[in-house]
Amino acid sequence: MSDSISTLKNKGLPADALAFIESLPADQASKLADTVLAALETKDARVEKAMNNALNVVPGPFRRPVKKMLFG
Amino acid sequence: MHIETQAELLKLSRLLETDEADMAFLDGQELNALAAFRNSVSSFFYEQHQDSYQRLAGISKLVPTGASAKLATTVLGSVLAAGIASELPAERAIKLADKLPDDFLAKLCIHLEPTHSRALLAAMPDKIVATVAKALLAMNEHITLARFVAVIQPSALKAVTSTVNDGEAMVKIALYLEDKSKLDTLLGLLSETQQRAALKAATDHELWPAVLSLNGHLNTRLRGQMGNLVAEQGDTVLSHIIEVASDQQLWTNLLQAVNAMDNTHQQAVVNVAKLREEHIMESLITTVAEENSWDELLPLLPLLDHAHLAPALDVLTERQPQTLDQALNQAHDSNLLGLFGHLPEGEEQRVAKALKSHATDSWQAFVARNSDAQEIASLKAQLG
Repeated sequence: MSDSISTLKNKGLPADALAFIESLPADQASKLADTVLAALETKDARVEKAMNNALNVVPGPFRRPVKKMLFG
Repeated sequence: MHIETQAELLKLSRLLETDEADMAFLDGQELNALAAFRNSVSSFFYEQHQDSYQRLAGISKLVPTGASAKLATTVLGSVLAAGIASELPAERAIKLADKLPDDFLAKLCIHLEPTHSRALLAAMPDKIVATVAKALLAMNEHITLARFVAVIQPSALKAVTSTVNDGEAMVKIALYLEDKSKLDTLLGLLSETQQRAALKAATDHELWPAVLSLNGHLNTRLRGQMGNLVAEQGDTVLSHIIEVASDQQLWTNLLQAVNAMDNTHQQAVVNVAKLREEHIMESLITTVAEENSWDELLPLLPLLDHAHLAPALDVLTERQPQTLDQALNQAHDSNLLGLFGHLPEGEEQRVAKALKSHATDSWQAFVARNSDAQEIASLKAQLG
């Protein structure tokens, strides 16, 4: 199993999607898993950046409670 | 690559933010499996960030909609706003949508996750849907528009379709529909002028593979209606369509369209000179044999004039005589009787010869089932 497939499995990619990837020849499975993982990382970065942008416009005194609301 | 596979891989490449060509290695995978994979990954991506969307939606609910709209456009951006909108109660999301600029709202819609935004889109007032659809059309966002078709209210769909005059957009939206059973509804809403525009676009933008492929999803009435319009396109266009059917193995779809046409149009289409070309006829018979679409082809063969029937019989009796055996085993007897009953006198001999050498058993079984049929009396006599 390629590293990307393992990572996707650990991140909770649904079983049917994993089964589709694993039904492909090894090189294709690896390529598809790499692409899915790369897309996930891009989307993660985009959401994180937007969350931080949102936090930055909050006036100083309110930043801490809002940060708690946003990031837990 | 089959046009519907190409459309599916385009959708997948958009989701995975990669180049369409990077997904070409998936050509050959089953279409439904590809779509199921894409939908599963799309939900997975959304659920990875759903907690963040819910937190931001929670904050959004605490401030006036005007301020939320300002925050969305200036800070959050359309991607995050799409996630947040899906987590807001529909009523609140609609109020917010009303405050957002059209372009931003359209971009937001591009990023909506189909499963999680279904309820929101279904609840959107017709006016907002029509405005967004107009902006999406201007952005050539046919994939997003196709997603709209599946979930918006019928009244909103009617409002949207009445304003679309771009034939290329109509074909592409239809091609990208997730649920092709919606195609009848969509096409049924188009005026004849719009339908003609779609067919003209098929010629102007090389979209005949899409039109032929989509034809297979239509009900018989609409297939006939569209088929008649196709038949009126003239010999040059019809010859091009025949080439497309040959290149992309879309013969069964084309045959279905021709069968649904009225008789005059059928005669015109089946006697286009292009069909007489050896490689075209060979491709036709090969695809029919592979896809077992004899019952689509056989009713049309009696409509061929002798100049067109002869090359068809060349393939059936000489180049691929084994297909006669397959037809006898798999086609409906009435369709076979229609062909045998219309064979020109001079052609019976070579058909009889091919039956004798390549389909003896199936011919005997066919004769036994149709012992009283006048259509095969002459052939029976020739075969002894």
